[in-house]
Amino acid sequence: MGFDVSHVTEVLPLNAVARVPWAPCWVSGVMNHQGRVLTLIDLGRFLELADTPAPTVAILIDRADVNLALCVAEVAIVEARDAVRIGQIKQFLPQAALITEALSTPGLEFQHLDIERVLDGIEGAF
Amino acid sequence: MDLTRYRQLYVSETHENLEKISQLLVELESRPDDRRVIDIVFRLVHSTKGMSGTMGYTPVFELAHHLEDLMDRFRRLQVPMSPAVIDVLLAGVDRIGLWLGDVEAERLPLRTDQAATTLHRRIEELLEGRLEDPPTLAPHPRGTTPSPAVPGPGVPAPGDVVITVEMDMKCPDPGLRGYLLHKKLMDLGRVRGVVPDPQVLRQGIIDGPIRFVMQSALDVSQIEGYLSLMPDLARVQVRREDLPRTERAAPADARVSVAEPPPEAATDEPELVFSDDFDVLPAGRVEPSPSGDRAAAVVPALDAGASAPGPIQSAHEFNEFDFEDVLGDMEREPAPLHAPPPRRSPAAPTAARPAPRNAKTAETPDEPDEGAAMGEAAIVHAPRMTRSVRVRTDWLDGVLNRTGDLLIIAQRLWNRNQDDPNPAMTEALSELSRQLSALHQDALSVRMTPLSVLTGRMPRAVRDMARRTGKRAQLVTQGDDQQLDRAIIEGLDAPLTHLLSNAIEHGIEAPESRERCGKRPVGTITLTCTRVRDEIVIEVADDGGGVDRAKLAERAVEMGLLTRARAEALAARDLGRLLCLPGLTSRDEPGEHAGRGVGLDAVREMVNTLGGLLTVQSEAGRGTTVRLSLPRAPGISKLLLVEADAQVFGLPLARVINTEMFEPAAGTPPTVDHASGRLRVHELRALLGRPLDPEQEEPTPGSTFPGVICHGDDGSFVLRVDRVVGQQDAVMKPLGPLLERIDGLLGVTIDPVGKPVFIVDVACFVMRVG
Repeated sequence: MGFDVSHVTEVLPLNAVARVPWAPCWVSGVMNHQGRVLTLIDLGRFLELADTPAPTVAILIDRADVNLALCVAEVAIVEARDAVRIGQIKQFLPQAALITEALSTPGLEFQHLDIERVLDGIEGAF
Repeated sequence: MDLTRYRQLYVSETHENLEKISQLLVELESRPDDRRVIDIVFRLVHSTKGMSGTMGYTPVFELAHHLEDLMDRFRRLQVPMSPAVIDVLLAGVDRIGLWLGDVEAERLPLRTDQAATTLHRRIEELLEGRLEDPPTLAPHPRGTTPSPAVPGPGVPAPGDVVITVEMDMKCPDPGLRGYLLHKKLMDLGRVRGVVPDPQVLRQGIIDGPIRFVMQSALDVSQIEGYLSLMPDLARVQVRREDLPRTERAAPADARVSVAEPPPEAATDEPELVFSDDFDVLPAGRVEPSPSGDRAAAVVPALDAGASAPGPIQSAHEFNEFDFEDVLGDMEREPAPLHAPPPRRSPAAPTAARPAPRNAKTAETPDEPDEGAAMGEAAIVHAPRMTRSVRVRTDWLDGVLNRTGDLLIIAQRLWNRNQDDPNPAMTEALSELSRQLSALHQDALSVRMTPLSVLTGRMPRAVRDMARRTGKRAQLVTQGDDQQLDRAIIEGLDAPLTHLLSNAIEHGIEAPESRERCGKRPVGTITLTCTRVRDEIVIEVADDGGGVDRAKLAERAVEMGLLTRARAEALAARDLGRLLCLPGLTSRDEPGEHAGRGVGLDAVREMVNTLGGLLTVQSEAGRGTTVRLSLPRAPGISKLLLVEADAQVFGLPLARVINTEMFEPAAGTPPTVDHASGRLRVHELRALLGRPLDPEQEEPTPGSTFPGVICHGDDGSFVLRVDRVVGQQDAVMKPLGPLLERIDGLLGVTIDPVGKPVFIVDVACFVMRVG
């Protein structure tokens, strides 16, 4: 999965995570980061992806007043100009509507997420 | 000039004005001839009008202007206000409040509507005496008007200074400059009237000379000198109306007695527009005149030098800063416009002797100051210093959060140092913690607000609700000067309003019923606020008929909410819980504000969210008391930390009765036997959806577990935990917009290793886990 890096404030290792009572299953927990309590969202679980590895890093999202981070197993940054559109979006994904296109860069293929819709979906699901 | 930066300030100040006006109008209803209150209301309306005009909010300005006219009529005629007039005034206040909402939401420009038009028409009818009451409201022909205390605001009285000014029409904005001149003249004394209306001038409209009538202690020549320094004035004429001989000693700016009609003023004078700002008047002492006239002579305020003539020290040109001055009135606390009077010294005979306008009459000398008479005094433009500033509340929240974070970091540093203690570091960290604690306390203190900011507008609410329900009720408040954190104050607004409406709709009986029971026809609702250690206890008590427990229990059974046995048990022992059952009402027909079965349960939920408790007591025929126990400040919470499933949680100490090791009793649901009786056991692990294995849950003889006895809304219960960690004063952090949607979480704090710890609402927890 990939999305526009302009939404990213910081990438952090997961550390001292507290679980959240009565939260949806895709909420990994909360974490303290410089006095802010970040709500951690397991992106794989939210997108209902099967067999995603356990998250190790949190991607802090730039979203007004919402201390929210997306948790994933690994992060890579690619140049958009190197990406080419490939094939069809994998329609079998439960949350396929959140994906805008399938892209390829040298050595990496990924689905491009409409991150605004993802974030709206997260906020709406609380 | 960009006025938008003053918008928030305008909204805040005008809201305050409206609240005060509402409160005072309700007071007027019981004391309709209280001149002092009428004067204050008039001033507040006047101030609202002025600010609205300056900001360009025309519909507000126009309505305030009209309301001011109505107030002025009562103020001048000195007749009591009828409830119908107060209704109209309150409706006007409400309409302005709606416009303020539009300003806040930036729905601009403001638009007038049918309701406002109707209101204007009603005011007009009242002014013309067509709507009600009337003889007192009907306009009187000139010369037959009942004598007001002072001459009409624009009619020169003996001693008044009349200034006629022709603006240089070639200068830019002569009208606006005329308006600013009016503001400047207010520094020289009390401007009683201006033609044309200053608000017309403010809009730049001018078609002739401007005429000011004012009271001033300055000589005509001094005023002329002052005006000569003003640019853009083509021609100036200053004269003083002759004083009767016996009154010459009195400074012209002193307050005039209220006892006797003034001498007949020249009736050919055009009616001037009232425009003074009389809350900066110097207080004058009123004494009977030597001649025995009922018209009193007036002695000077505080210090004859206070407003005595003297050389003019400053007069500056009009520029944009004058606009700032105009708006600055909105920014400043009421403060003397003149510097405090310096102690006079023979060595400094020419020192400025500024005039404290709010001088105390007790200090008033009988004779004018000799030095003042010699012209030693001077008018100074005092530094407009204030002892307080307005601060946006979200900034205060930010300061509190930041200091809380610093405390947490200091604690983490302390813990880290304990691994390998360094004496110098230990000492430094101790000092750091002390200072940060003090800073945090300061941050909490500045957020503290008296409860009166809420209760101030409640008499109006009670009045309105009582009128709508055909009942008579009065609100008595006690202890509302208690300071609470602003978050608590904000959270209490809706619950208290609801409790008051409940008291009127359900508690207070109709006047005739009350009289049949030997009660006064006017019911009393008492709102009491007391501080008990770290808690604030607010009670809303009515002297109504009390709750019909049997009827309420029966209704709960009819509605299928409870079994009969349970309903009767609750009615006898736990009325609060019964009343808080969602959907339950004892009313056959719902009222406008209560009786729909939504409310008290929501009140309890809101109080719980604030970390408080709600209890109810009621006695048939004597009334009902709802008691809210609340933390005084939510910034720091006293918590009991407990562990379950390898995670630490905080429980508000207010909810904790005790911690013990318990031996489980046999049977389901799980219980324990305790000195207070058999208590239900709930597992804290259920918070995370992972209760103990049934096998583990099966009690074995002699096995024990740690537990916490907690206050629940349905009585006490035991919370089974894995470990009791201990007590802690924790800095609460907000949950944020996502997590705060999860019921049962009160907040979050950070433990010494930097891990978040959730604070759990145990009452909600029990409801959720069943």
